[in-house]
Amino acid sequence: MTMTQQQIELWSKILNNTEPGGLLCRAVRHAAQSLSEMVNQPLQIKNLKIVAVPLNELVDTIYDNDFWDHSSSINYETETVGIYLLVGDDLPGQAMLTLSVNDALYMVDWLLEERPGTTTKLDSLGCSALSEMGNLVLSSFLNAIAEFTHDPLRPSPPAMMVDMLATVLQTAVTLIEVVTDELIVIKVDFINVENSLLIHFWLLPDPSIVGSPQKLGIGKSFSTNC
Amino acid sequence: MLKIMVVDDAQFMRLRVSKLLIKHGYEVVEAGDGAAAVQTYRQLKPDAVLMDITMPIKDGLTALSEIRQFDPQAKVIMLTALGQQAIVLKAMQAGAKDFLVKPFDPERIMKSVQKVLKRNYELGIRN
Repeated sequence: MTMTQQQIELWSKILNNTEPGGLLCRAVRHAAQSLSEMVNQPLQIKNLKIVAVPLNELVDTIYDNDFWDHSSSINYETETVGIYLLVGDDLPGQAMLTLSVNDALYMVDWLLEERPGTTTKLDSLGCSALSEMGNLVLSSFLNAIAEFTHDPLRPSPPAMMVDMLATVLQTAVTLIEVVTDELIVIKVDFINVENSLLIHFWLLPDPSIVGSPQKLGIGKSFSTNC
Repeated sequence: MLKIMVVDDAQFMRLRVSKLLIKHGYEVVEAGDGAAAVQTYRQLKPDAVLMDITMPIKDGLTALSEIRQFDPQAKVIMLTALGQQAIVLKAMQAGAKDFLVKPFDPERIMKSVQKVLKRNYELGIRN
């Protein structure tokens, strides 16, 4: 089997094993558990969605698909922190964590073991803590997938940006080589109910490798709770 | 005072691990990527190293191999979020003395450091 066939097969297995005991949910639970241990706070997993999105309409389509049903306060202009990572090896694609700046400040306090409300702006240490959070979440996700493949799956070092939500999402798309009309978007929410804190974890399989959503047997939209 | 090098591209992790080690009476030097780690090791020859894997410029596994080429007795502990069997195996084959998976666990880190340094101390007595 060629490298490309292996990569397509692995993404296909992940995207077509979406039941609670399946590979995708297991990996998502592993990522959430690591993050929960990192900040020593309980987190719930909600709203796992897989959507085929027209490439030039990512932001609009995500809105149409009711991606934000656990966070009504979010809109296009919400000031957002985005943490980007790339995955190579057998699972080529991008990963991203997004959270509002207000939630990011709260998260930095947890990560630095400070009293909530201590951090009022993102300095280099706060950005480093959030980037490490991105690294941990994606690495933990990949660790669970690697139990299945037995081959190493490694992320790139993280990169971070702060901008309006629409710009943060659009930046992810501009990094993608345009070879298909549609993109597969996987998104799941990690929620700390007590503090109404919400983190979105995104995965975008590389369309130049996996091809169209139809090729992987993905319909227009799918939603589940792990 | 025993000297430990902490290697991680995340300032946040370097700070947390360094604080912990200083609290336990160790001297700490830091490096932000694998290339800086190899250079610093050659210059300062620390007693042990705690090193991440996913880093820019030079990753932790490459740096581990280069450090062990320079000093076959180097005591390197990998501290990474990548807890995958194939990666653990690769690190141990390259000469890592222990492999710790993040998230940060102060107790596990200190146990591992003490184990590695104790081994160092015992070898010193036998020699």
